[in-house]
Amino acid sequence: MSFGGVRMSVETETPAVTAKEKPKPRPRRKLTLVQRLKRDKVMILLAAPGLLYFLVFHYLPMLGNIVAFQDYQPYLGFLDSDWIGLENFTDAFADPRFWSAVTNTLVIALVQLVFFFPAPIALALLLNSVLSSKIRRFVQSVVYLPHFIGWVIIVSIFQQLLGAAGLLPNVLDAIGLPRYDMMTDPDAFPWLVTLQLVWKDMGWGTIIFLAALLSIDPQLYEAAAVDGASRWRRLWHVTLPGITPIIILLLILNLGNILSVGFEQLILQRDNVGAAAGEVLDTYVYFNGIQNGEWGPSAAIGIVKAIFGTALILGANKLAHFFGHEGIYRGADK
Amino acid sequence: MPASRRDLLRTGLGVAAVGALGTPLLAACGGGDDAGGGSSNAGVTLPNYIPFAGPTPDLPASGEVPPGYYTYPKSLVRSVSGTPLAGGTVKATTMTFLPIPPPRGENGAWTEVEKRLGGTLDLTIVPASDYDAKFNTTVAGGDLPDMVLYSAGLNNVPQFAEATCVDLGEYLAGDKVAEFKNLAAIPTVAWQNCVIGGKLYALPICRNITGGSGFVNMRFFKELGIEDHTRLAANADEFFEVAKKLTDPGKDRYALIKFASTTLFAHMFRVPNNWRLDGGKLVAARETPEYKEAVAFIRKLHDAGVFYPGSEGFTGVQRGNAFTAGQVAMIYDGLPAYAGHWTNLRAQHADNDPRPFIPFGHDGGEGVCWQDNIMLAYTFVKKADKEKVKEVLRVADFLAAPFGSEEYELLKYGVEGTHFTKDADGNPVPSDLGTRELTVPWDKLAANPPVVYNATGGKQYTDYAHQALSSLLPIALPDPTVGFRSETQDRDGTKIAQPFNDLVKDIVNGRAEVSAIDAALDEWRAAGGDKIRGEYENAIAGK
Amino acid sequence: MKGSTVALTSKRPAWMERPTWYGLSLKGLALGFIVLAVLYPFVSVVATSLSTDREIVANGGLVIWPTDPTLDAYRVIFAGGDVTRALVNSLFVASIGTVASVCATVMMAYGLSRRGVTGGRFILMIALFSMLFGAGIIPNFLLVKELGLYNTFAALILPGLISAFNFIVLRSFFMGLPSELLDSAKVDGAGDLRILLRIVLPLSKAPIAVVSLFYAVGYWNAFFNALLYLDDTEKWTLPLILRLYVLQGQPMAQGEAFAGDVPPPQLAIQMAVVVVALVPILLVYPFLQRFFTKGVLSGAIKG
Repeated sequence: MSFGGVRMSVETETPAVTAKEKPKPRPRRKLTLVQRLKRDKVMILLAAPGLLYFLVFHYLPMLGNIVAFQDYQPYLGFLDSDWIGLENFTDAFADPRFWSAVTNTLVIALVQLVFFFPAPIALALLLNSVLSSKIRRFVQSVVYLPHFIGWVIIVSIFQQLLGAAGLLPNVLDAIGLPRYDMMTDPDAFPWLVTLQLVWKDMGWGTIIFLAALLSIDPQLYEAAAVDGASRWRRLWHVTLPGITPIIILLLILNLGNILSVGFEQLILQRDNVGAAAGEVLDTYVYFNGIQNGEWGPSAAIGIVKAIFGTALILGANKLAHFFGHEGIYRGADK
Repeated sequence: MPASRRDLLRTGLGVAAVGALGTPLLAACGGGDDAGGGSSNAGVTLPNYIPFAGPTPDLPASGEVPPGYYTYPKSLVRSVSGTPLAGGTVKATTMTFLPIPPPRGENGAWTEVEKRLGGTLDLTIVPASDYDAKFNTTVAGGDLPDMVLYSAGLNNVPQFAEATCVDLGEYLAGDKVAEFKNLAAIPTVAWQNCVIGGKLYALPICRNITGGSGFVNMRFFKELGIEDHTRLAANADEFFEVAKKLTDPGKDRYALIKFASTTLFAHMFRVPNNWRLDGGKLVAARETPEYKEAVAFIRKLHDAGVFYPGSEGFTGVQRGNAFTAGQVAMIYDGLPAYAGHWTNLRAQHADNDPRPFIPFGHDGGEGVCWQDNIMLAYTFVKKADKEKVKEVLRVADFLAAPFGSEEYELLKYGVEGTHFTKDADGNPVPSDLGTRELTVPWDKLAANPPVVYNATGGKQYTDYAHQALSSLLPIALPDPTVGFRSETQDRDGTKIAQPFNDLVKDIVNGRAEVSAIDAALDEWRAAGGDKIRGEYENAIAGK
Repeated sequence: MKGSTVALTSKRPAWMERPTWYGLSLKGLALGFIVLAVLYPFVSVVATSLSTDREIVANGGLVIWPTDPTLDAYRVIFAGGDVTRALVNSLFVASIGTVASVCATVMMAYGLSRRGVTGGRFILMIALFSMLFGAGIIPNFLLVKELGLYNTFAALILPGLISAFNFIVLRSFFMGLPSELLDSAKVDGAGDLRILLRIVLPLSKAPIAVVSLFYAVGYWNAFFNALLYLDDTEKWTLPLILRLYVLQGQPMAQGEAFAGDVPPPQLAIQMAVVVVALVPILLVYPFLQRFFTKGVLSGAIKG
């Protein structure tokens, strides 16, 4: 579920509880640390594997970033590789392919922002206007499905639909137009990946907006209708204001993720259009670092990206707070 | 489909279609002490050449042209006595171009090989398309196997070799190789390419010296009345007209397919092999006027619409499929792929007539080709004690068993009666089990010296292939930098050439103009091209 | 948005005007198009996998309805062995991974679901802050290598064992359970573990099912980690096999299933591999989609 880390929670109907009498509040007293540990030992033990996981797999790798300051050669290891200061950073910044990756990343992110982001909103509005819950459920269960399909499968399918020997060129051919292969056209690449994203996640993205639409008080509609507001005016004056906060929130959080455009999706298709159009920051780090063995400079790019990415996410959260919403980290502990 | 990856790399010079491949192997092969960035290989004693006394060929070897056989030899020679492994285990990692074989333990042919080896040969098999990345992660994983194939991707091969690999000179130099008879039968030219940083660090996977210049399906040319495949057109202009006539989008047929296609045309325009050495001065292939003319010609063909649309994104297999299906009349692919194209095309349509393309000169003169496929890749042996290294070399010796030996038959065809039967002429015909189990890429660890033979091709195939090599080898230009090393090329050569290669790709696909080449050349020279040139020139001059 | 109690209803409220015919048909067309656009690829992939060479050539590629369906393509991929092996590998990784992930996530979410647990806030912050940054591909690779997980299935499971998102989902749910219930159990003398097993888990079937689905699908589809960490084709999972045979066009070995027969076309074989990768998802999805359409997992954005 990729709403830029927006917090979602699972609701169910509250279990029917035969509410016993509330236990009387016990008088509070200060416990010693030992007493508290004893009281909480089961809870702490349960959380411990998770803690260990996060420390080992999210914090420990940070140490690996030292290779960004080395002429790292894996067969020499951390200890025997030469320290070269900031040379990797200057090398990376001097590499035109890095800047081309930055440009591609931003272009793809922008195209997705303009053409993918509104898609679920539109579909949600459409679904919301469908009165028959049967139809609505049916459409929902169909459009949620592609979200669960992996990128390898999706790219395989698109290859058959749009690829050189695929459906689209055949159709074009049949109606007398020149064959066109969208899969390998570098100019079309941002549009291609956006189209794939729309296919995969447009439906899934509606969940959050449908929930927001459901929370709009129906009396508002009724009142507006009684006042003579038309269908479109109600959409404009009741529906949209009702979901504007959530749109703004998601938009902001999306901006926070602008440096990370779908990694698996792009790594599978980069070679179809060549690095000049298909390389984004993450694939640059992979291809340059792991395939070409440029460990140091790639780790350096990784650090720069992580710093900018974190700053963007923090900034986005601040902005979200400014608009009166909670971000991902504040208030998670309530 | 077997394809020569190495020559794709080397000849991919103009069109960087292979993605992010690292340092070209042959250029990385040179070596010496590291003084001054450039260095040479002088002073390494190579293994002595002791040819294999095998069956008498139908077409004799001459010079570099390998022997040709019309049928499979009737009597085989046992080339390895005893069991190389004596109960031990050897681990190896290599690539495959074939379908993934059933794994060890579930693969009868593999079990037979191990029985004969007298121990365990545990192979990690990686598809060729992922091999460079996998090689790097294996190295990074820190757990190198006893033998590992290397093709490209490392950014400092001599340093890697010195840190982790055995100097094979100790075991194979001069007469020492006599202990490993099959390795001794590998031609000297292949060993020359295994000298890295002044030491013999690798075993060659040797090939036919030239990767050729692609293939044509003569069926389509014959329809236009062109019968002589060694001279498809008098010159480039005539070829242009032929290509237009071959193209018929309504029938889904095109003259050509995109990919490293500069190679094929570079041959028509006599572009040098990587570098041209002229009185001690080097000129890079991409700097020559010939190269620019070749690119302009490809662009002209592109504009005429004779390339299969969208084919620039095709994988090698997709290109092969299009050639097989008759969608294109001409394809660039390495010479070793001939057997595959031969079988596939003739199975598809009785009139299909695939022949190696023999380049003609754009101006009516002779064409050239390149010595770009001396070997596919090479195999490193991990540092170990003397006994272990000898054990590994005995396995390599076994795997390098030449055509006409019992071991070759076992590795290539399996066990008679189980994995293959023999036809009336004595040629092996694989069973279904054989087809499935014999895709283990033994020959990508240590390879036998090349011969011209195709079990299903008969006399015709052998004649065609032998004839092609006889025509191509005399016009195959050597790369003057082979055997010499430029440190800048080793480290950054690919990176430096990338913008230029990308530009050429854009030009031949109609996204940039030929005139942009000059500026890109200046950029390449400034980015390190001149430095590479200087290092090579110094190395060649013996400085 | 808590307490969105508006019932989904099929009835048109009295105040709403009658829909116009063109409005209705436009809506119908739009929804119909979207549903078709989603379903068409699935249908044609399955249909193509069942088709013969002649049919594929006649259609110039994907087939919509095979007139002469055949299972030959499936016979080939299961005779070849490597698809079967990849399927087994994928099922193994997905099942072990899902069980491990769900256990770890439930334990952690429950352990941190009660306010005032000693050190709880610290652990929570550790988990939440990990969402703000990533160490990057290269340090992660180096870690997996140093831990000795390279070329093992553990490398596909451990680095993504707990998703911070799923953790938050479960924790929020656990925190929302009526405290009276838990307190009374406590009064009855139940320990924390017993409360988890006897009370919390039975009440949390829906969110756990949803989280399990997320994990299972994640493991099933995982491509990059497999590409990065698995050396040996013996250990390959379906996404890698799929990439090799479908995207890179590697031809597949055709075993004895086709002695003397016309082998099935490559495209049918490729699509059959796609179907094999799709089937488990398509099998599980119908049982779980109701959680999404019914709004069990409705996005509750606070504020």
